Amino acid sequence: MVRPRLPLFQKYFAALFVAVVVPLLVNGMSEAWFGYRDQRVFLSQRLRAEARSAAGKIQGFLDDITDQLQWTVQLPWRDGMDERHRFDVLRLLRQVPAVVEVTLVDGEGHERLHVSRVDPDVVNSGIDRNNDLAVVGARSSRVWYGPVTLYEGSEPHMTLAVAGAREINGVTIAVINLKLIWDVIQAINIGQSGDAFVLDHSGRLAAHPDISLVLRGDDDPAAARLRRLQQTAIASDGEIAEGTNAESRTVIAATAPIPGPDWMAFVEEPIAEAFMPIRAALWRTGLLLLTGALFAAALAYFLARRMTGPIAQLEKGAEEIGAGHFDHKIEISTGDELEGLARRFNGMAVELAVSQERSERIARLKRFLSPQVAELVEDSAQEGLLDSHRAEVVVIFCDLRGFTGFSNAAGPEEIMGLLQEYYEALGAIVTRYEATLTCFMGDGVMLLLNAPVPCPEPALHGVRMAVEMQDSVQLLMSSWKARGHTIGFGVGLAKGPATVGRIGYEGRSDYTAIGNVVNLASRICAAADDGQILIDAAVAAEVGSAFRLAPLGTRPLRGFAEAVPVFSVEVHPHDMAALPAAK
Amino acid sequence: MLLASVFAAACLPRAETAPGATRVYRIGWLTAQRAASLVPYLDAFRRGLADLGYVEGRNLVIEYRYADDAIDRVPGLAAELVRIPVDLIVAQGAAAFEINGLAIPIVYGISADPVSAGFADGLARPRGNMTGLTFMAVEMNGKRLELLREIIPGLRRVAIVGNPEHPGSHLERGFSEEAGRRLGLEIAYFPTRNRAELTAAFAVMAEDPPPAISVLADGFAMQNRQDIIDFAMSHRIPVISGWPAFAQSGAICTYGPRLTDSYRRLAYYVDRILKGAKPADLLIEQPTKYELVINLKSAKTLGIAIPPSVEARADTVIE
Repeated sequence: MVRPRLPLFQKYFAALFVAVVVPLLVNGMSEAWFGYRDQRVFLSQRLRAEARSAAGKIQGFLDDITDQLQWTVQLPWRDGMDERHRFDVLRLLRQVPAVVEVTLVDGEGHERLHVSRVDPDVVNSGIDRNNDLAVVGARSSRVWYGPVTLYEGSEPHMTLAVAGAREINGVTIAVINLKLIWDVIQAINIGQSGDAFVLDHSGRLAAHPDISLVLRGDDDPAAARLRRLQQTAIASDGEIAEGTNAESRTVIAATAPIPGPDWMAFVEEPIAEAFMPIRAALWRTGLLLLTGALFAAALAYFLARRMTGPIAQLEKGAEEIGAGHFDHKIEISTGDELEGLARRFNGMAVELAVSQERSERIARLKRFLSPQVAELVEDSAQEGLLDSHRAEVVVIFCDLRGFTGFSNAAGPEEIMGLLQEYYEALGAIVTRYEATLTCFMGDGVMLLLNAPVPCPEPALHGVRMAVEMQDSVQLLMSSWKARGHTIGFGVGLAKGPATVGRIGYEGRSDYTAIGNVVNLASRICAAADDGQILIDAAVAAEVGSAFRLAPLGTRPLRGFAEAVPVFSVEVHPHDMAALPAAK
Repeated sequence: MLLASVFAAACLPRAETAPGATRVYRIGWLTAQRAASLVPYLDAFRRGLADLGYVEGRNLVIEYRYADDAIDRVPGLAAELVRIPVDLIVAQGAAAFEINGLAIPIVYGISADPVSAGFADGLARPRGNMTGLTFMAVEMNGKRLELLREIIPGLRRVAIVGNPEHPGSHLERGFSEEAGRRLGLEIAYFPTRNRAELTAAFAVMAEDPPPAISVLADGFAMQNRQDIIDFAMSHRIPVISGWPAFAQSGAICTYGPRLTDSYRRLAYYVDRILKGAKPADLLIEQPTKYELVINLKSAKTLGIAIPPSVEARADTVIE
């Protein structure tokens, strides 16, 4: 089987595979893209909400402290009120653990009381605080937030000052330990491992769940990373920003301002975690694509196999039938057009077998019948020609002279060898002239023309054939003479009506002609000498213009009451070339 | 086809939300004290661990080792813990001074000054593989004297009992003397390294009972607090100290760091180190919250009226 350049299987497989995978791929990719976009939008909204919430919590923590500080500026500084003020401060310290120390300044701006959790109290120091930033700030805006400072280089503190409604109520300056914000900050969880933290306006860390980062101060590389993150966040203008956090992890962050102290609350979530859902979705899509591709491959393989399998079977079948194996059956039961095609193939094989059988039979028949008769026998459509009827036929008889004497003297091999040469020579000519050979009788042969196959000019045709036969046998005879056998060859032709048809019985039948003309031809043949072709008057009348004829006068013939006129066809060896060729 | 794929996708295992296979951590709790005196602090520490997601028996095993007031047993117990082995040791109080130089990380909670003890070059710079909390706030000694003066009107003289071998003790003494000067108090310092010195100090004080005693809290004072307070009460001397345990044993009041908070905070160090942080990267923290405990029973026994300005500040009042 020749391998095709582009096998159907590959084409179908590729087409089916692509047909399934491409839509799947397009769908998967668009889903991934939209999923990513939606996730980013959702993430941005969520983180910004978280940032606002965190900022609110921090602001709440500071507002709580400010509210508590307000208690200490409700009473005016008048004589005899000192103890009340002190009591307020002690209760404040009891109530607000974040306050480390409190300084009360009276309406004139003089320090009246300083209470610390650790240091001894200072009463009525009278220090002029009028130029203190905290006092100035509180007086102008009621609440003043100081910068974040690192007490003793490590503890983050912030100064907070509030002023009373009336100037005489004075100002309270409190130092807040920002480590207490830790409780607030630590309680904020962003996603699974995200954090919140706070930077002041100069980028210093004010609060972070990892308190040691806050305590470490500004010089730390982590603090620098957070400042960079802050710059990115400011540059991204309210949207989520990407950067590295204190632990050098890649995070996305959102910010929200804490208006009071002018701080910025950050919420961050590791980028890997933030995009976990979309990554999971991507994995799912990928797996889906893979499953789909495998499924498509299997399906394409199956369908392509289904398609090309029968085609291969058909191809093989055609090859088998071509090789003459007509019994080969193509078994296809796909229920589609291919099955129909296979049925046709099988039918064709059967018909081919029948036709081959017929042609073989004809070939066999031809060995015994004249080809024309053999074919008529086989061809039922023309079988009617074989039916008995009367026809104007030309009957040709020929036989050898002196054969009986030869056969008595010669051995069987020699007899059969000579007959073999003789019949081969005659057979070739008879076949060429399409004469119907009705029977052999030893060395004699009877031939018919114009039955059963019609022949336009049977007499002329017959004479030509006889001339050629005579010539051919004469040539043989010269070699026989050389071997010492004296044998001659004569031919007789007669034309007339005869009954033609099959005679015989079931299993063996011959085609022959019955009538006077047959006897006449036979007798004329018997009358012919070696080398002679004798014809009756009917034949002579038809070929007279084509051949030179020698009237031999009438001859008495056995079985005929009257003498019959006989003609001889005069053909010399040198005239052979002038003979019109047999068709 | 699509249905099949969707089905396949739906059958995918959900993304793992729990942190991988739980690793069981093993830590050692090492102290020179007895189990009973540390119950509230140990509870606070364990609560802190629980808050950070450590559950004993599931992802955490704590090996407890108590030297039962025999400090010389501590190194042996530490060696035992190392042999187990544990991931780190939490050394409570004086035990931390006995196990310097172990190969595994140590988290300590000490009343001493870590710099004086040689554990750090500064609170921001812990040394070696040790870090933790200090409960010491030397300034508090002045605050305690101020409280005493407020409780006892006309106070002129205070006896201070302290162990000079306690790292940072000299700072506490210095601050006390400085604050005394400012408050106009005469300070008598009694060094008590051991029982003999303590007995000697009692003998001296019995001669001329001071109007008040301030005890500098450390392991030795903690161990002998009942004797000190019993002695003081028998001579009608109010005692003040830093840790609530003293008030529970009869001291008139204590003012100092809120130790439960600090012990709870220790869990943070444990967590960070178990998660791979280097002890040297974890700064030593000081107390941020303080508590005032008043024993009104002792005050009544001694016939002392606690002024409202002090009572108002009390976090705990023992009636």
